[in-house]
Amino acid sequence: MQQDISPTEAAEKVRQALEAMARQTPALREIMAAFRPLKEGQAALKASLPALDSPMPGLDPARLAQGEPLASTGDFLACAGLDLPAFLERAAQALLPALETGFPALAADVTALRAALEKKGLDAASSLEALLAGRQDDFERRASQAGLSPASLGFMLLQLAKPLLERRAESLGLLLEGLDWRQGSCPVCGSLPEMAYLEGTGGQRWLRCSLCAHHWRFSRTACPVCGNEDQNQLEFFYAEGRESERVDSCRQCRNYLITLDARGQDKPPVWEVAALGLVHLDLLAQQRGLTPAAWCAWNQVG
Amino acid sequence: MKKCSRREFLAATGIFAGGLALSSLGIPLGSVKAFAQELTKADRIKTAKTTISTCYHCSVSCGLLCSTDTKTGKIINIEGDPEHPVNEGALCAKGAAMFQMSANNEHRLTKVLYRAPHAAKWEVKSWDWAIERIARKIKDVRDQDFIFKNDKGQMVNRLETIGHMGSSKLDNEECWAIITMARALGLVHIDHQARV
Repeated sequence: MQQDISPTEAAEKVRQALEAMARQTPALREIMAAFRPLKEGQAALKASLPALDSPMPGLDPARLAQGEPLASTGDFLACAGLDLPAFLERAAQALLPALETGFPALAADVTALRAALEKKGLDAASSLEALLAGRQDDFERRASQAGLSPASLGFMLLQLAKPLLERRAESLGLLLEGLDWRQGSCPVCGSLPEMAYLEGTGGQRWLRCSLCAHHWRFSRTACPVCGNEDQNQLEFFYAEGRESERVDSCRQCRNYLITLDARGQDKPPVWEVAALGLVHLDLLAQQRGLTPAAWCAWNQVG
Repeated sequence: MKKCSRREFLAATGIFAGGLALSSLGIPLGSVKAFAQELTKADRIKTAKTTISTCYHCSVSCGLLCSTDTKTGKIINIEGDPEHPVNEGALCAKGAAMFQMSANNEHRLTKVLYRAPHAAKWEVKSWDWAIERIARKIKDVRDQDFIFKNDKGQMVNRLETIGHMGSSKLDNEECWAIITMARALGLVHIDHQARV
């Protein structure tokens, strides 16, 4: 769990990390620049939220042992002191300009979303609930009414909600401390990881959730997507000279996960943006016909 | 490990599977594509697999992760296995140096080298030559210095002028064979590098 910092400090931390990664890999400069307004805005918004620690869902160790994650959509979005529609309105004001700036091809959709929200043609909170709960027909109907494609509306809504989901997950994750969880999906929300990293003198492998940003430990010798432990079917590839970055893949399910070896680094990575520094590996993996463990805003490069 | 179990959240990220590529967001990808192509063309992309193994140095038997290049079959890395209950990823100095004992170490000796007394240079010798010479020296020293009885006239049958230092590169079975030989020769100064 990260320490509480001010919105300005949070945004500055993200800005510095993106600049450092762009210096390290100049070929990624345009991607860093595109995501910078969004990532800075999300970090600031998240840091502005109070701890979302009430109510907490009941913890059932037996269900966790069966691989059931802790929280449902309702557990995430129903927090004491949180007015979800008001939060989403605030997030839209802060982040829609960032989406327009960073992603010029999305500008028309941003305009359409803004108009739908202003004219009450779209209920952002209900749409988000439908999206997260997987009520696809309901979500597609809402997108259609707003004049947007489900993919575009889903992308934008999720970017608005990320600061809230991540902030809530910080509190939810505290319930899981000390409990055994051996799944490749997130113990808090059940989503798959966006990336892995190796840390500590023992080289433990940690996964970072693609949705709620919770971190959990996972085996070095198993596929987080399908659970395959066959050593002859699990591979990794890396570029010579850049050994701290690699792609772990599974021949059984044809999924991959980007991995950063964070051991021995001068500064700990800024996880909010660390995966952006490995987009070249996403590209190489997808050229090999592999699919990411989780599709994220930055890893659909094909 | 159980098959991964997930609930509804997966649907949220799954919606994007057919959707928003970076290029469709208006982000130019020319530079990153050129970079990826450069890495591929320069043959810098290496593929490897990881095998779970066990350290052979001592009976603690720490867990290891051994990475091997799938093209060359050569070991590229050995490290502790963080999932292993004995060592949880940690290795002692000998275990941590195991990679240097693989074929990757160009300084590893592959021939017998001999430096004569007072000589400055090493000479390459055959194993037969070396074993014969070591046996000869042991025999001569033992014949000369073997102690049958101590000062009190008690039978001791020992040899105090040869010592044996065991190596941590030896496994349990090799150590047993060596100490049997050392005791048979009457040695009493027997130690092991793992202890010191």
